Amino acid sequence: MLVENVPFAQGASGERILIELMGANERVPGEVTKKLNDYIALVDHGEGEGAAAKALRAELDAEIGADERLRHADLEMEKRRLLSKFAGASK
Amino acid sequence: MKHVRSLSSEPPLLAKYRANPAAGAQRPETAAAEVWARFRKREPDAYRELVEELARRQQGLCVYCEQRLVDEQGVLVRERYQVEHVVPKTAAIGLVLDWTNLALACWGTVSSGTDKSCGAAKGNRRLPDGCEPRAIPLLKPLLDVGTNGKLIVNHVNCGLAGVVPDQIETTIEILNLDSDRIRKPRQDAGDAIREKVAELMQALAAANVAEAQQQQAFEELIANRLCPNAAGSIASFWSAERSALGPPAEIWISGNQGLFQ
Repeated sequence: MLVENVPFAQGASGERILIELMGANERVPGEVTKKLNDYIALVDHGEGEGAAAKALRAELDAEIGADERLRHADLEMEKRRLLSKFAGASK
Repeated sequence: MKHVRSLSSEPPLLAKYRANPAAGAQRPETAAAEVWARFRKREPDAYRELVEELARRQQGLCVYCEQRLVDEQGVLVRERYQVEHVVPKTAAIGLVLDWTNLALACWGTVSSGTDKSCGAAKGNRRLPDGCEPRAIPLLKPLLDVGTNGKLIVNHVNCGLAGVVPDQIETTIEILNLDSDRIRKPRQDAGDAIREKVAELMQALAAANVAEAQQQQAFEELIANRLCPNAAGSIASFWSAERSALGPPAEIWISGNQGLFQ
């Protein structure tokens, strides 16, 4: 494939080229990926501090450790905590 | 996918062309592709007027996936856009040059031609009733963007809008909007916002400012991210930023609806 013909290809990271231009999956499908998706879904529904999420998180910490998605899940939960004190914030 | 403004009136050069019987606006559906190709070839000024007006109304984004189709000055980027017939032009006589049926979309694919999305994935299918971007509400969005960039159907808001959630799921599937090619940059857009929020909150906490000032600073961040730029364009994957900013973003949008309607 000639990626140089695509406007944003120059300067793009290998990850972007693989995913956005070559159609690769960001993650290898499988049990751990499913577990990660389930955990993220709980966080997105405001249930990141619940028992189910905590159990999944413990398993994920053991399996993929300092994964970027886990860090962003933490950031999302922290953001929700901080914003909940603002008037009108209900999520 | 979010609410998108439709054209407010028919572009004058399109109206003039369509009024000419030679344009073939009322030819059978089977001739729609030919009628459209002739319009594009013979009326470059009318086509240019049409796409520029669509880009302005859509604030520079693809009608479906929210990829940016314009540069910082609001000028359309070559080979990044195409006119989309929301109801397929072959579905009925007259749709091919009907200005109310036209929107601006991305190419929906890259050079390999695989992993299609948006109009390229939709092809000649119709979206479920009430699910096309121009019909869905600006406030109380029917779709949220998850932390991993995936679209999440908001069942509560669907109920308020009288839209069946399954039909929104079907729309996502038809347009292939959760393709990794689109989901990943949507995820990146949300990630960037979460980082900015965290940085801001840490700075405010370190400065020990009052809660009211914290809220004001956060509202300024929201306005900075969601407001159209000087050229009238909004950020690529705007809905991902909106979701990442959370409920305060909904309050800000509600108070600034005029910027988006």
